Amino acid sequence: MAVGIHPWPGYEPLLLARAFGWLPDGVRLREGQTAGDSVAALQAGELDAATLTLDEALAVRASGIALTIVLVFDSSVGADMVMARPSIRALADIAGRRVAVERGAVGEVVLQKLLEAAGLDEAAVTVLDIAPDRQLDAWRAGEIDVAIGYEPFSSLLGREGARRLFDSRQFPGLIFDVLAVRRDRLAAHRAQVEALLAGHFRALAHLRVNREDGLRRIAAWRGLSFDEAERSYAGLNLPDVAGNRSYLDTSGARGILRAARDLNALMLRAGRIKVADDLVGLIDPGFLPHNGGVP
Amino acid sequence: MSALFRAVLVVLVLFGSAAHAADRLTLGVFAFRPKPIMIERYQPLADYLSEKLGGTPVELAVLEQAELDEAVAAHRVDLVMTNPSHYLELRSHNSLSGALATLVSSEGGQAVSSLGGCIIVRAGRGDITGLRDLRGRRVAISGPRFLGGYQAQAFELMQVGVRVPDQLDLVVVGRHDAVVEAVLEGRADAGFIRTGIIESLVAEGRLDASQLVVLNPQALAGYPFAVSTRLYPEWPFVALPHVDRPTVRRVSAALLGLEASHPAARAAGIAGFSPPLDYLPVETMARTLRLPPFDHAPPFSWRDVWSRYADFIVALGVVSALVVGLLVVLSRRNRQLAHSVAALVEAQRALQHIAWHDALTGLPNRTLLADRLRQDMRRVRRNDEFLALAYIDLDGFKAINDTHGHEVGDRLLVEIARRMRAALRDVDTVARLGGDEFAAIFTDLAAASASEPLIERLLGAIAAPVVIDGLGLQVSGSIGVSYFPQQGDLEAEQLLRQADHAMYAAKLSGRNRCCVFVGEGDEGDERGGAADARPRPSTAA
Repeated sequence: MAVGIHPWPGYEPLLLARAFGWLPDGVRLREGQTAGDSVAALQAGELDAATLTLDEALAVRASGIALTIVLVFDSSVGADMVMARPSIRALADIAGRRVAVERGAVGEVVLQKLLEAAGLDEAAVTVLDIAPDRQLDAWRAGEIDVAIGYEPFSSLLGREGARRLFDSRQFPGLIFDVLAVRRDRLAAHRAQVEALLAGHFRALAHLRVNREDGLRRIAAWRGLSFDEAERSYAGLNLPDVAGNRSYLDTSGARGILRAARDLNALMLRAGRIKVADDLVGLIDPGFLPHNGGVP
Repeated sequence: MSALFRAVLVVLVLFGSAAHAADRLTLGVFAFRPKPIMIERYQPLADYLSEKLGGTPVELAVLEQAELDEAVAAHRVDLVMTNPSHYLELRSHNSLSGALATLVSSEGGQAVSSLGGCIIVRAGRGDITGLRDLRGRRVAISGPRFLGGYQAQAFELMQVGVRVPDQLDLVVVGRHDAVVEAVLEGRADAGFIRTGIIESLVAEGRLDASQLVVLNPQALAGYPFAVSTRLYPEWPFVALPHVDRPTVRRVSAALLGLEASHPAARAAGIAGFSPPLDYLPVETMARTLRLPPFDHAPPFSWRDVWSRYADFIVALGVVSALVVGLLVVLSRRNRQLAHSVAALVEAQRALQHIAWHDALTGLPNRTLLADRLRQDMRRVRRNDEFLALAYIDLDGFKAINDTHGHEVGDRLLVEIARRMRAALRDVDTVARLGGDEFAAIFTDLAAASASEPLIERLLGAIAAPVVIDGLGLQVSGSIGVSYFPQQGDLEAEQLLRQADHAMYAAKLSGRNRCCVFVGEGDEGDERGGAADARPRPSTAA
């Protein structure tokens, strides 16, 4: 089973689990640089699953690949952010500025929310399709004024003097990072998906109770300092098994299904999808560990 | 530290009473380095606490692990600093309070509140490059109760399948410094020491770092020490439960308020104390390694078994019930089968009886007679004896049958059959050939003449009157006899024909008598075959 993954604090427990040998043998993590890499590989049929944001998962579903969400890694409460030149002091100041965002990815949701909050429409800014991993170079080259991104890349911009202008705390409950599995391959990989989730929760527990060890490892492979790694989690809620059950509630009153309905509307408006997702088969909490994730 | 100081210290530790009124506190510190070094490092911390507690002196007691165990058990210490696994062990015996704070150590300006284990080998040992290479090697340790000096490494080795301590040749050499010496001097292939020891020895000018190689180095951002294992929270600072709450609060505040730049912190080589960390990783490690206090398997209750293996037990129960059910069905079927077999055998026996016996009289029929005759012929030939075959035809039976009917005739046949049977020996056979014809085999005769009295008895049995339904009935018998063996081979059928011929001779010569076949002629000459029609006197009374 091939799982696409890219740098993002919420996904690090999977890499931690791999480092400790807690992932099942049949699971291979295929590391890309951005969500776009995972999406392309999904569409090429090379992946069975990928770590994506909820809106990215909906976009892939709209492209004809039925995905089912089996795990919520995190909900973003500040970790998705808009970094700006210090001269930009208020949201309205972005008018006429060059805004870097990864097209087709979660940054679009932030962009929509940013424009909404600033009272502007998209024509008021110059949108440049630059993924977070390339924003540092563009920033240094003076090609952009505003960068919509996420950790750990946003911290790197912060080192260059960028200021946080806006973040996902302004619209909580909309950006979720999830594990999405191709529905047509879910049955064949049932045991592996269960073991993968068990490994994730084991690593998440390690990160909680042995925070220093976990964060120093993550910081080491991301090239961050311990403090930066620690800060990168400041804007995330990482749900345990019980939290996942709540987010993957199939009644749809809250969590993923409610967020998906909101995203449907937002993505239709922005033209990212042509037809609203029917949300059928979108979530399946049946792969979560039964024992609360305690190894 | 002076010898006098240490003597005073020991006296304090041994005889000092617990500080009930907090008039004096004893801080027990586990001696993970030589005692003089430890005292030098931690006396300033004790002095700092004394100062912060405003007049309550804090005495330092640097103790080996066993001494510390004893001191805690006897409440001779009030505050304890020790390694996390020892803390768990103490806590399990003494219900210590939770940690007040976790030590933050310092190295090169880096503050760390986690420790780990180092696995060292002498530089240039190309044969030991990874954890698995340690199998069967002599490994120096400071003691099995050291977290950074044994347990962290043991846990890491277990993760890669090296069983500890079984697959290592462990040698306990005392403190961490001694482990380093043992490795450098080649007395051990490898050594386990806690993080920070190498860096301290180097700083003290006692070690050239290039002499050692650290196995399984971990990539941990900003961690200032070489480390071979995952990290565990640093030493806890613990107050025993008998210390009063205000004192505990003041000690906590003093610890958290200790700045890295303070002389007490600098002397101890620490950056101060942080709010207590979670000691669960230590507990998990200790449980995995079955270290104290988890070295005893918990009592196993049926409830535990049920909670863990409920699915399995239910499945087992279902399968067992199924097997038992099938066994019951099987045994029932077996019993039915046994009954069926018995019935079948019985039926077969009945069929066999029907096939071999005459339905009216119950005597053997012609088939069985022929069979018995063949057997008897074989036996007498073998035993050099004789047998006589008598062919019997009742005289006057047809008239009785015609006069009184078949039923009376049948009953007469039954009675005569019974009498004939009674008149013969057990070894003899009397059979009904059909109608009013019978045959008898007299076997095992020493001489042919031995048959004569038997034939007389037979004639008598036939001729005796029979009363049926008030009717006095009487018949007689004409008997032809042939003997066996004769000259030449003779079949049973031939013998029977001979007797038949003789019987005709008896009929012709007046009935109620016996004739013996004496002819030598072949079968084709039956008619000419002579029969010695020796007339017999009627046995009729």
